[in-house]
Amino acid sequence: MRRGALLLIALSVSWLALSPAGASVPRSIDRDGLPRLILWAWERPTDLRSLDDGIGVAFLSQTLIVRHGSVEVLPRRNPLRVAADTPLVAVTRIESGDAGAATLSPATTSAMAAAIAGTASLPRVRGVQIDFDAAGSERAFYRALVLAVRQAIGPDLPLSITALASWCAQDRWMAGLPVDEAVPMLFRLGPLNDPYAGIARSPSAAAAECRGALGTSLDEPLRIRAAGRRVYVFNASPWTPASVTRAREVLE
Amino acid sequence: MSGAWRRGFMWCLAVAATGTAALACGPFFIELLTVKHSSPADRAGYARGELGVVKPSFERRYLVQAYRTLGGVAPMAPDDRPAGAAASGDKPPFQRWRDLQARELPAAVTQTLKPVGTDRIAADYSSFVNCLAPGFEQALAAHAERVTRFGARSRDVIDWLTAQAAVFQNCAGGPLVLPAPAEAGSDARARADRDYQIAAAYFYATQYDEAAGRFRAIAANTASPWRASGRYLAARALIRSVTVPSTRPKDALQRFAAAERELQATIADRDAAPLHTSARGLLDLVAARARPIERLHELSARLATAPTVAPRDLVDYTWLMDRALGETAAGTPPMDLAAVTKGDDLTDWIVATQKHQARALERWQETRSERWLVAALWTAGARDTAVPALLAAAAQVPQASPAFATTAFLRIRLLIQRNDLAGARAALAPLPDAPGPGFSAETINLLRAARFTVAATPDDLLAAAPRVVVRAESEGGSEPPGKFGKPVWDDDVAAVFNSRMPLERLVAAAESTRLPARLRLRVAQAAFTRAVLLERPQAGARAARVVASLAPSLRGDLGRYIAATDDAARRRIATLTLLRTPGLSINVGGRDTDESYGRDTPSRQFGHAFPRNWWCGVEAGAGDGAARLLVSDGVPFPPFITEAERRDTASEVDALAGIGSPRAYLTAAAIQWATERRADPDAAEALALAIDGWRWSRCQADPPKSDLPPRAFALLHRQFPQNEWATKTKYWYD
Repeated sequence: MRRGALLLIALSVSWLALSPAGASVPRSIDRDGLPRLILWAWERPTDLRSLDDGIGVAFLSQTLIVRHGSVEVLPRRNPLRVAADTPLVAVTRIESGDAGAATLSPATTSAMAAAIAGTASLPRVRGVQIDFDAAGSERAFYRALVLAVRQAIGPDLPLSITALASWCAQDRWMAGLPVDEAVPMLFRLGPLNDPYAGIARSPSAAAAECRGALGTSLDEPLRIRAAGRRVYVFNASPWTPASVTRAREVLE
Repeated sequence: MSGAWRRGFMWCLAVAATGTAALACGPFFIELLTVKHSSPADRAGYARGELGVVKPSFERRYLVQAYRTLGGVAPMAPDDRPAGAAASGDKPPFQRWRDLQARELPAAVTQTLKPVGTDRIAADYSSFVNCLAPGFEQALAAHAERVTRFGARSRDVIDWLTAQAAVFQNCAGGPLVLPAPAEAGSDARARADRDYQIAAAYFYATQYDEAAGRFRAIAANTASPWRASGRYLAARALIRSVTVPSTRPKDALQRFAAAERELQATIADRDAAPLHTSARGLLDLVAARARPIERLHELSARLATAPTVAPRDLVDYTWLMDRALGETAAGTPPMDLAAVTKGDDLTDWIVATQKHQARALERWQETRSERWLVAALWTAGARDTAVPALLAAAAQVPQASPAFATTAFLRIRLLIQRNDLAGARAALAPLPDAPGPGFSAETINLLRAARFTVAATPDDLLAAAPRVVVRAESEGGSEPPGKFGKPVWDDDVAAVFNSRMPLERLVAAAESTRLPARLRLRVAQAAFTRAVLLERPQAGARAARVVASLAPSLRGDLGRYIAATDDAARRRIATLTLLRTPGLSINVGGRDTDESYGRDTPSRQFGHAFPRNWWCGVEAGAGDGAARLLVSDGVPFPPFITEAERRDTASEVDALAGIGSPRAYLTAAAIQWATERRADPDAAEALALAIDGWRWSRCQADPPKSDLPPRAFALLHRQFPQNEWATKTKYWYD
């Protein structure tokens, strides 16, 4: 369903307006059950209990560190407090120095996939996201990992990956990955903003995999136009009611 | 996201420093610092009490050291000591336990077990190390003892092992798993073991109140071999009952108080001697949590005066200070600063110094101590009425004092900020210009920055320009300078040459032999490039002679430039020289990286991995080196630069900015050249280099689209179809 789903996401606004079934789905929620606006909650104590309806939280649940052919799992250390009905996406960050993931064994890859899939069983988690800036030589590994994760979590749970902006522009290699969305990270790009500004303005400027969502940061000067896409927002500072309001403005 | 953020941030820093666009992440360079703000540049010397210039931006542990040293207290032990004993080749206890379970337990038991973990995920998605290494070590030792006593395959040992495996099932989460009760008729020892295991299961299952009660019961059982650890473990359960839940319980203080009673009882129990050190550590932990300000003051008193200091005390103190000042990842609000500093001179001194509080001046006036003189000098405004008294006091600090380097520098700094340049020069005159006792390399760099700022003549300025590398910083950390021993520049020097001097002064500086050759070449090449752009052929020829003498690879081109007999020919060879030499720039280049440090002549090839070709605007930023400590609003003009020269400088900088990006300027020049001289083969080379250079020299301010590359490409292939440069140039780039 993956690529078809991306198309559906792009068309969802008009579809919802016509469909009686869709009429019961709030505008802020996509058909995969995840909101249009999702806040990234990274490794710091985070209290988002007062978050409005229709905003989700993608929280760092663990970091997998690849080193010398093995993998160390660093679980989240800081509390995340959210309301009972806040949709959650469990994020796994993968860090590999010197492209070390390229040479991991199939058994290690399977273990990593199991660890990632395991986050789906955390309470209230409605989706899984992988954050990995894979080097060129690590792409075969990453593809195998994503396939294994998809197999483990099944076809229905949303699977998201973050993507370097270049993956969604000229360096397209993600075609065929069994993911529901690839999130181009349109922040901290420095002077390279201009080449990627097209993606920020319009989904059609991005590779097909990247048209359903995008990632930005509250302190990012690059202006984005959501155009029906899901927006993930990073905040380098602790989330506060004021910064949540600013994140909402990003979507609007 | 954090990983991408960190990578992107480093990348952006590098880009911001050059103003040049890059096409990919990395490579990452080693930054060669001449001033280190967050920690002492010479940490070993600092730890011996050779403070150099103490900065408010230092991490607080270094300010504790400064406070001690300034007050005549022995320095704390060096902080560059080894991180600890080398790890043994043994597997971690957790893994050894896991292996033991797999090896020794019956298959029927292991099949029912979840994989053993150490970390438990709480309801708030956070995790903590629930089962620590000592717990596994103790279990391994207990197993070994029972094997010795009963035999590895005995029923007693298998029962004990099965029960212990159940205990560790609680480590990684899930519902409570309890060991089976001791079998009827089992002996007292086995029953005591089982009581202990059940209490431990509750503990690891985070049912702390139940665990504490059971451990207390064990403590009361004089027949139990675990009696002596009962109260200690009850204390640990009570502490965890406060620290593990994400919401602090309302009776947290009572729980901490109960834990303290258990720990005191443990320390009073001779049978619990092996636990006494740990119990004392837990008492300190409880104190920090339950009475943070009181504990802060306890630690402060010890850190300020004790002849020796436990490393943990310093860690605890800085941890508490982070919380007191609200500098935490969670963004917790600061505590009441008056309470934090009350009656605590060390904390008061650190807060006043770092927060630039007027209190520093008050305290200096009260104490007249060198400690508070340093704090007051850092925090005083140039126009404060107390400044003359501060300056007088700073002038009286003896050279043997550990405060001397700091007070001398801050005195000069204040004089500069008060525009008393003659006073600053007089204060600088007796101070050394090379490292020696009491004057670290960084201190000399700072004094040179001051000398550079107040230089009365061009020679003085050039003499004060070179600096030395004091730290080499990379993603892997910060190191002493090592192999980077050649003189370098700080950004304050580059900013003055780039934006506070007219071309004639730059040429004169290039012609002077005051500067080391590699730095002189930096000035000369900038002077040459500016002269070309500003169409000042005489200045260009003078600068070209210097560049040619220092950079042999450019001699051919520059010789033709110098020998050119008409302006048009000179412009053409200048254009070609710039196109052939992407290392030429209108800027002299400031703080070095390992990459720029290793480049002694302007590059003759386009950089691809991390393009630093030509330039992107005039680099006038004062940077993050010495200027951050000396001036607040950009670098000033050197005092000897006249008003007329200042106007000339501004005009030149405007003109250079008006030229736009070098790739557009050079491509347009190449097109004009080829249009005017249709048979000139050098024009073909110029077009080809312009087309290639376009790709590798994008600036942030460039418009997204330009017709120059396709025009140059079409012209090259239409006009010079057989030329080798046309053959080599297969594409043009946006």
